[in-house]
Amino acid sequence: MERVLMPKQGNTVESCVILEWKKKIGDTVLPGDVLCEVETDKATFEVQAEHEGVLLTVLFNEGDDVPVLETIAYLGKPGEILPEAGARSVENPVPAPLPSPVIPVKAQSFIEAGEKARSVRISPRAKNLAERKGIVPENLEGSGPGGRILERDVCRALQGRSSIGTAALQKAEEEDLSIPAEGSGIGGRVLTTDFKTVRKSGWAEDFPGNSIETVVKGAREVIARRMKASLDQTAQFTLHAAADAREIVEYRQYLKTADPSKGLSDITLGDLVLYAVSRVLPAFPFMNAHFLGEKIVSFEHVHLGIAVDTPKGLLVPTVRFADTLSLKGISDCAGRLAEKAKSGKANPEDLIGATFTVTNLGSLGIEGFTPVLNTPQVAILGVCSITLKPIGGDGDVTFIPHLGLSLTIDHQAVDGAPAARFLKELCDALARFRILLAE
Amino acid sequence: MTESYDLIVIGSGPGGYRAAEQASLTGLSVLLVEREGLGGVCLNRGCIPTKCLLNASKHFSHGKKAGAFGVHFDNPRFVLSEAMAWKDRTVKTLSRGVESIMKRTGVTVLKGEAVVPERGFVVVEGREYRANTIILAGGSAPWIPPIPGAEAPMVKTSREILSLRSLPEEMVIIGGGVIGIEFASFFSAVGTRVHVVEMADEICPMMDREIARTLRSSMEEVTFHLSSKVTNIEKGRVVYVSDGKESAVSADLVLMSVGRKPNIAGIDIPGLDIGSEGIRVNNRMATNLPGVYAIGDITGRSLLAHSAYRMAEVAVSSITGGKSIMRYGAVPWAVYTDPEAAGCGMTVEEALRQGRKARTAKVRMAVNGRFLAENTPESPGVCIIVSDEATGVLLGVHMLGPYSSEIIHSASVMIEAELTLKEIGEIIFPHPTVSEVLRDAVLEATHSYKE
Repeated sequence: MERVLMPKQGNTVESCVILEWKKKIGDTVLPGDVLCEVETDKATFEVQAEHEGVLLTVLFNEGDDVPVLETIAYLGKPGEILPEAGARSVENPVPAPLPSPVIPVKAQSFIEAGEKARSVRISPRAKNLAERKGIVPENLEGSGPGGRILERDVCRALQGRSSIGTAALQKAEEEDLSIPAEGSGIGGRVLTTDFKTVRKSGWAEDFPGNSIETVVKGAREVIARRMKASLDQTAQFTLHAAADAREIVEYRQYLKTADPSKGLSDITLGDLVLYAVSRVLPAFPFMNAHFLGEKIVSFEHVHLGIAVDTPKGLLVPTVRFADTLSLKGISDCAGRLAEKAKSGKANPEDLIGATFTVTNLGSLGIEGFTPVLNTPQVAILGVCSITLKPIGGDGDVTFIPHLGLSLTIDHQAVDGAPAARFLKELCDALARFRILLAE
Repeated sequence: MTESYDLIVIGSGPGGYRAAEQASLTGLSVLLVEREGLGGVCLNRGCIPTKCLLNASKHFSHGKKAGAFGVHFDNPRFVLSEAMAWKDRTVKTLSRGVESIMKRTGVTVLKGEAVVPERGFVVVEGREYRANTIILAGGSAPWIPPIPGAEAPMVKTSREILSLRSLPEEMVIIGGGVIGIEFASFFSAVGTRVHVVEMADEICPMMDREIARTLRSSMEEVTFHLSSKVTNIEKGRVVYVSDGKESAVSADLVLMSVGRKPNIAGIDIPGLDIGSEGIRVNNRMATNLPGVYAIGDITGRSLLAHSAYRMAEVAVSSITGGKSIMRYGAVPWAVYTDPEAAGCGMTVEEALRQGRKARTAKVRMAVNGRFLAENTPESPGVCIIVSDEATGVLLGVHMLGPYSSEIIHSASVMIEAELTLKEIGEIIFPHPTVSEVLRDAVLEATHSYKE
């Protein structure tokens, strides 16, 4: 049995790093075969076998820094017993990748290195190069075993090192920003403006950062249950249309300027839509209905649910007998109910009995959405924002303000075409609002 | 039969010929199509011919003022036809230069109007040409606003005015941008009574406000009508409205210089994203369609010959797998009035709009050795710099005074490299030169930081 020693490289080298084992335990080697590649702070070189035999064991891992003249491996005949206790023989070879270190002290040093994140594991040669080129090893990702920084890592950092000005460098240091490999400046120079998209250094905050847990209860629980049930139990789909909004916009402006003592200035565009719905719906009783599985109940009168965004969540109070109320009546009632809902004073009976619901996201700039049915009602109308639509005519195109409307219906109770007819009628009614008022 | 190339470049202005040259040097087969003179507007009807005329008018007015320095010319005369002949000769020399570059680099040049009906396909005078890649570099043309009378014969654009046979006695320039102001400088120097009618409240919108104001007041022979909108061009006069009041100025020549529009006629590629400003491109000069690039004025961005040069290089880099990107932040500009003005980077207003803590420093050229040696002390001249208080980085340089156009590129270097005032303070400037005002302004700003 022959020892393989870490060769002595001149008088100043005290240790070498094993870069790579070229032979596996169990491999047969001849004199001159390369056993492993090692690195000093000056050069890399190969350790060759001086004898013939089988590589019985290796005593150090790749990346280990080994004092010169230390035994690093044994060559011998297959089955020979190794001098060190616990070392493996070729009777129970461990295939590549290489076995865990056989010297326990070394194994421990891995863990220590991991815990002391700042103490960098770097080969002497890499360290030397880094110092000469002004590269900070702490910022490098080591590609060696256990994240050890090798010469090639420093070379890579040198290649990819971006040109950066003092202003950008200072900004990076002051604000703890990592420097991108390439900037947007001349020749890829990193500029102060290149940090916008770069996140803070990894150790500043662990992924995914802070979060808050909230128990689902109260109004949220009710909304969650009802919305899920709605989507589970119905066959809902949504139709989108847009109504010429010139008349309603103009009429609302007109009301704003009316005699304040009449109390008409609070009437909103949403109220005009509620009014139009209350007048159009009676002609489409199948839309003003409840789907109860074995039967469909359609109503003579229109009881309008109005979706209200409250601090506690969505509430839907009901404007009862909306079809019998004047525009001002609907507006007053809807305003009062919304106010009560928002301040948490809605009565339970305010919140039941609707036959059709209107929900309004127009003020938030929404141009179309898919409202979720308020079961057992068979329809819900979403009111969207007013946008300009190009309308052709006489070879000319003009831009006309249009109010978007999104109508979700339960296909169990209503078919697409009849629902579309209702939506068209509603659009027409809004487009000719003055006539609707007269009717 | 259809001829095939690797690349077809449409338009041979600075962008087009630079792109053709660069692409050919990388080994691509290149066809360059031009409907008029090689060199485009810049060489034939823009930068170069106007510089010829402006140099002539500068000699003329300097000759008249040279008495202060002990040099007396008896009755200097300006002869338009001779100045025009000089201009034509210069244009011809440079155009031949472009022609020889194209020949040397192996670019095939084709005269004719190009139509691009689809990607990779160009028709010139009925013949078909194919290429994997097309660079659209058709440039821009003067825009004529719909003002009644705008089509009258006495109304010229920068194009026609360059072949003028006789000087007008009185002229109106509509639009106080760079083109309008340069012609105002020329015509007023050679004896024409010039009115500039500008809609905005100041000339040259890209300029620092103070520089623009100083330039305007230094052009003493020119009458400026700011915040004024031309409503009608009649025989012998131009009617405009200012502050609700209608006025008129008489003119026997009108220069229409309110802006330029991209030359997109014939670019019929289906689906190509063309905005009102021009063909839309990303910072690699690629349009929304693969194999179609656009550079120069036709993109509507940074309508400057030198921007087009760089766009050309970026486009060729993109086509050949390079990674260059177009940056507009440090593109210098120059106005060749007398005195000339130049700038690079942000004005203080722009910097503040970006939410930066910007500050300015100003140095008058009247403290500069060479300036005083060559100009009377009351001559206008100023350098204003803008810097970022947080980082100490130089953001913008704005100059008015002699040699500004030749000095400003050093500001481009500083801004491109994002140098700080402290670093610029270490650069040695030659003495005595007017360029030292830039260094002085930097020192001024550095001191003000300390205070």
